[in-house]
Amino acid sequence: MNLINTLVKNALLGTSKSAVSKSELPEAIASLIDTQSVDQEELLLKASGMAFSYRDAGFQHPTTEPEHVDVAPEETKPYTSSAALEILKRLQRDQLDDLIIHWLSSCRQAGYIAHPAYIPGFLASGTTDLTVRQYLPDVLGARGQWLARKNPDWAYLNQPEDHLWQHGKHEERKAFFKLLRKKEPVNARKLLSTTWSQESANHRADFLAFIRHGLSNEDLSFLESCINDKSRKVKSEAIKLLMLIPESSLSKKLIITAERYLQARKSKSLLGFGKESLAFEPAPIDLAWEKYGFPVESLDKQFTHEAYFFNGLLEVVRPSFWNDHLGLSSDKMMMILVKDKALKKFIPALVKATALHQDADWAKAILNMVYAEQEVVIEALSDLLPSLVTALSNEDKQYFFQKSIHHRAGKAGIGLVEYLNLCDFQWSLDFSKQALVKLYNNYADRGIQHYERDKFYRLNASLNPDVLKQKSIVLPPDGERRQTWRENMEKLFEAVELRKLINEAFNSK
Amino acid sequence: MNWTEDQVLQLSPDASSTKAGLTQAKKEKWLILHKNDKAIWGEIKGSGKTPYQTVIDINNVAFKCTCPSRKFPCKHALGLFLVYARSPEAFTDKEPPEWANKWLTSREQREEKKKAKSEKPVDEKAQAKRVAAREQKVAEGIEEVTLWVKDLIRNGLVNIPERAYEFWQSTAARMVDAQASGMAAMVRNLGKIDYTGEAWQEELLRQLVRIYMTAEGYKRLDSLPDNLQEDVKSLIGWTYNQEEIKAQDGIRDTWQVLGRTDEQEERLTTVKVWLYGQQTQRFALLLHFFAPGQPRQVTLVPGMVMDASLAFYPGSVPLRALIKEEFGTEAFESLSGLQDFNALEHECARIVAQNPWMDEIPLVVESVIPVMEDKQIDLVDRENRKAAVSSTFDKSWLLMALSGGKPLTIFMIRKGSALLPLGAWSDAGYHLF
Repeated sequence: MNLINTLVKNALLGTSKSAVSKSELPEAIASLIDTQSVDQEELLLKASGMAFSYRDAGFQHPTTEPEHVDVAPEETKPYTSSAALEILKRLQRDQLDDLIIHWLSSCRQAGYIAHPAYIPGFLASGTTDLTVRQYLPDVLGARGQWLARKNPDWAYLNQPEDHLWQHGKHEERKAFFKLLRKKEPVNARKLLSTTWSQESANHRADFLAFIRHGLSNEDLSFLESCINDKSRKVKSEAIKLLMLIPESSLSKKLIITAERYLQARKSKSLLGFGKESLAFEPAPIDLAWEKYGFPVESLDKQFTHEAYFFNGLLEVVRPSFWNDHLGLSSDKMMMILVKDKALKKFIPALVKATALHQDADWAKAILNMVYAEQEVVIEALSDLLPSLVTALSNEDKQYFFQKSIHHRAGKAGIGLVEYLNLCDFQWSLDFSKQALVKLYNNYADRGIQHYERDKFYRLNASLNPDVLKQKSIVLPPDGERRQTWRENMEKLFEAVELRKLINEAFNSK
Repeated sequence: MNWTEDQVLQLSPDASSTKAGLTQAKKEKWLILHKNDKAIWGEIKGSGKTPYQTVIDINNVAFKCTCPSRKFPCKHALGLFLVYARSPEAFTDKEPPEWANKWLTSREQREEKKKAKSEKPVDEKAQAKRVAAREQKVAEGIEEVTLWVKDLIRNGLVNIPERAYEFWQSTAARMVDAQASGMAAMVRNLGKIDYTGEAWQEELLRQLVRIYMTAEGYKRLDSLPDNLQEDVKSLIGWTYNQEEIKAQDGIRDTWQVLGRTDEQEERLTTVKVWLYGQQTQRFALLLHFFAPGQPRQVTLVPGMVMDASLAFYPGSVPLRALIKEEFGTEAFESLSGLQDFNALEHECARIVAQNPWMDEIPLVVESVIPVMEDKQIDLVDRENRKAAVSSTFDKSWLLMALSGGKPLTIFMIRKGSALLPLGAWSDAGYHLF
């Protein structure tokens, strides 16, 4: 409206410098103002008042050409139930990120989609959180893809899966590759091969480290090609990985080299039950192994050059090989080694190999020795107890929990809650109760430290939900406050309950 | 009605109460949980020997707790209400115990007393004397503000953005002295204009004109129609005795709570609750004012529907109202609105013609499609008329997501020529922005 612009201009300059002329006013307005009785300021104010009211009361919105309305395609999947939405609201309000991931994962698995009101929030999270992002194409449905097309920040949702790999920053690419390797190991390795030659040495080493997840024979040719990499870091990582694949030629060569150094002996006895023993048999060192990083000269007084070389091999040879080669069980071998003054120095190398190859049988044999308080084995654990526990079967994890192995390991031990965090499977009700009672006995009195809170909270993923009916087993007696214990238990039980509610919301059709 | 967690949490007076309330929202914490058709009540262990007793009137929402907290509602009341929203089955039906019954009965009695009190005759002589004294003071203030506006116009507005914040404050303070608090607020609002933006010149002139026209209207008050007189007096800051307002005939309807906005004015918080009557098809605005630290007792939250009788303040387009009597809460339904922007503008023109000062017009418009271009959102009606959404609207993506390119019914406020959506109906119900 030109009149308003003119009046604004006059007002800016001031009527003392730029007066309004009645002739500038439209007749409809001018006729209503008695110009004889008003001064310049009043004329401007009254004319403006009428112009604003005139515009407000007669505003016409511009009509646009009937344009093609971009409508989101119809959804093919059903929306989640209102119960599931109520839970999601609660999770978002309390910022329970791990449970939001569980919600997303359950939603995807059950074949539902989130209500449109949640799409902008999830798309915004997905810009920085790749874990959230992986669920969004399924959970946000057609409406999510439609909306994401309208905001360049959310373009990722409609881009091909490897877009981030091709265009992302190194940290984003690492996170992407790590997730893809977990989900689709073969495709991940194929993708890495496509850009391998353009990656810097440090980046190559970073990506190679993730290949350990889902390692298989299919990775052989790729890893073998990496042995000749210019970068020492890459080469060393590739060798480590090849040694983890029994079918690799390097692994086979390693075994052929190692097997001659250790032999089983059986002494004769009258009843035919000979005593079994092991013997280290020095053999010439094959210097060709030096290029793979194996030491060919001893750096430790208690080792000869040959023994030191063998010790290096022992650290990476899969421990189960020795069972086949020597015809001895893991337990038997451990028993022999701890008693043999000359051979006990090789125990740390075996512990390392067990941790590296995640051998459940050997891990159990080693931890049995720890339980028997064999000092030499406890010392050999160094900081590898968590890796050995991870290698155990679920049944053995519970067995060693009952044996309080975390405590038995002395200096190499870990906290009870750390141990339970390693038991990352769905616990039975019985085990859940045992775990809670033991936690109560260990922590209720002394309280839970700030740095331990997350570890306590994470147990919600493993605890059996039926334990919610038996919370009283970990409640301090009346009159005892034990505040941090109470608070942390409350938080833990709330998370268990929410997890249960999420499962129920998505499983009830 | 079925309460949701969101609705309950909106009753919380502040963030720390929300957090504390959530810690009490665990049914195991409650020693007893009972209900009848009027109330829910429970007992929870506190720091003392005897448990705290909490009762909530769920029809005409009100709280009572024996804890010493000065927050209202306290964390126990919030916690109890949250437990009810999450797991109503955890409450067993029972007759209220004596402590709960005492409070519920006293509430009923208070309501009756209030009603009886409001029926008492007013001392009209004394009232007229008070009014005359005030009118004199206001008239002096009005003369002063008129001169002040004219001075500004004479000298030009171009240098206004460089002036200090106090520039407005001194005039606003004089208006407070003149018992023209509404006029003082209008002057203070001049300081809230975004002087770094492009359109401050027009907005400043518009607001100065509003002040001038209000002042001029007041000077000619006797010549204005009765209702317009009330509009002008209300703008000046003429307050009304709430009991007198409530003494009028109420308008009973099922009122949908469509929106709630909190505005900070000086140290005072104004909570605006927008209602829409399903049968009368009219809007109502409830205003609540809170001083710093004062517990906020706003029990109406968007998404609820109240069967109530409202008493409206006088005016040419009566909007502001008080709850005269509540009869209960009901489930929320969709409602019909204006068909297109043509109808919207006709409605706005009708209102502006009656009350040219009305700067916030509530509207429900059907079949509106939000369209986004370069992150700018517009609304398109069924006749392809396009209207700009206010630049202060920060939920554009949510609005787009709810629509998916399909028409929505939207509750909005027209401020100037821009539209500010406050809520929308989608397949899954009403969403508040």
